[in-house]
Amino acid sequence: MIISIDGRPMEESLVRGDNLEDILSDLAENHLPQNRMVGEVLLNGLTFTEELPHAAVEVSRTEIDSLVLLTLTSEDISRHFLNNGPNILSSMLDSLPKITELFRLGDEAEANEHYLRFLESLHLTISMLEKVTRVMDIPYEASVGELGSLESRLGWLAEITSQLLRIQEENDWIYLADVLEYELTPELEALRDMLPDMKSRVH
Amino acid sequence: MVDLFERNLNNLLELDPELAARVRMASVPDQALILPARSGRPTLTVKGISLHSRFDPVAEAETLLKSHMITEAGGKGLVPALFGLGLGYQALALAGSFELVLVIEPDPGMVKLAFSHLDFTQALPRLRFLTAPSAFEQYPAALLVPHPPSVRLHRTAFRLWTDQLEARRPAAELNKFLMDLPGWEELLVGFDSAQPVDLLGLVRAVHRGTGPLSEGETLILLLHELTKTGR
Repeated sequence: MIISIDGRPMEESLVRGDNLEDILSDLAENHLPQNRMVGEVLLNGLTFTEELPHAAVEVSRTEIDSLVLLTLTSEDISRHFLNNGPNILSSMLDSLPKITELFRLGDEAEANEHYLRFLESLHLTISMLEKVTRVMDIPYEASVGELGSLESRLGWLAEITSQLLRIQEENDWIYLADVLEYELTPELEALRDMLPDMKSRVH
Repeated sequence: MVDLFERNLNNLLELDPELAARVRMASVPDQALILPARSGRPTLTVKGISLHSRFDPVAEAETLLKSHMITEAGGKGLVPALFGLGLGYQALALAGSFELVLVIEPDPGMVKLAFSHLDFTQALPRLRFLTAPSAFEQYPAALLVPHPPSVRLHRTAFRLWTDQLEARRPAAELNKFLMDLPGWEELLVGFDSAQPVDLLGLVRAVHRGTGPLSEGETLILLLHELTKTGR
């Protein structure tokens, strides 16, 4: 297996992991240059993107002939997120009505499948937002008009996600659909609407 | 002034006196808790589980009307058979769109609770409460519409009703097919017109080879085979 980061080849024996996900984690944690993040992954010559969360687990080490990582600075990634964040949040919002309908109509198996995927995206987005504010030095507590501060919005979002987990444990699917529809949806809309303002604060 | 429960029950009394008496005597379900929804309407939890939206139960019931299941029922001319009344939001929404709605509620105490909180007086003429699966025989072909939280409260009963409807489906489909044929009544000459014809029973009997076939029976069997291969 040939591994390289930004054109610099790496010794294969230094990289741990039996599948692509573990290998990428090891590379990200232990081998990336400081203040850089993975921007693109080329697997056997082709761009690799995860259609589903954790799809990289399905690619075993023996299937990998070449793995090329192209990195970007944290600032580049943050700018990319600020540019594309509203679209990301909009597509997450688009998926919510279907999930709530499935829960309300009792198709719990399919609803949970979509819901878990949504939650994973939500956690990634929140973690990305926190990183972006740190990297770009955006004031956490500054108020954005009627939308309040990012700090208060993220705090409220954390409360909603804890509430969702508790309701999920109780298998109260109607209430879960309620919280998704009536509490999380407006919160994500507000967050989406804050991103252009956050972007304008970056120089 | 007569309270809501009495007004609902008086209307039911005219339509189904036996059920009205059972509802009057019933106890409301254990651990049933009425809460105000965010919209101000009453909502219900049983054993801590929500039976309706805690925010807007009326809007939630309206989404059921737009579901694939209900549009399919409407398109095929099937009668919705709602399993689980809860407080009645879904039943009332369905009664606004269908001439006839069958309601299966295994617990008369739940009907009592619903009658105490929502107004059924306008909708009752369109609602038929079923208490035993055999009651399906009196009504046109139905599509079982589960109220999911109620199904969780009465899983065994739900399976029983589902099995009954499934067993009835081929006969209902065949009857509908025959009734749509021009001159179908001529095929049934010799049958007692006052009694519903058990076409499925007839076909099953024929397959077991019991007795010679009349011309009408032969035609019915042939049509049955045609509908099976045409499906």
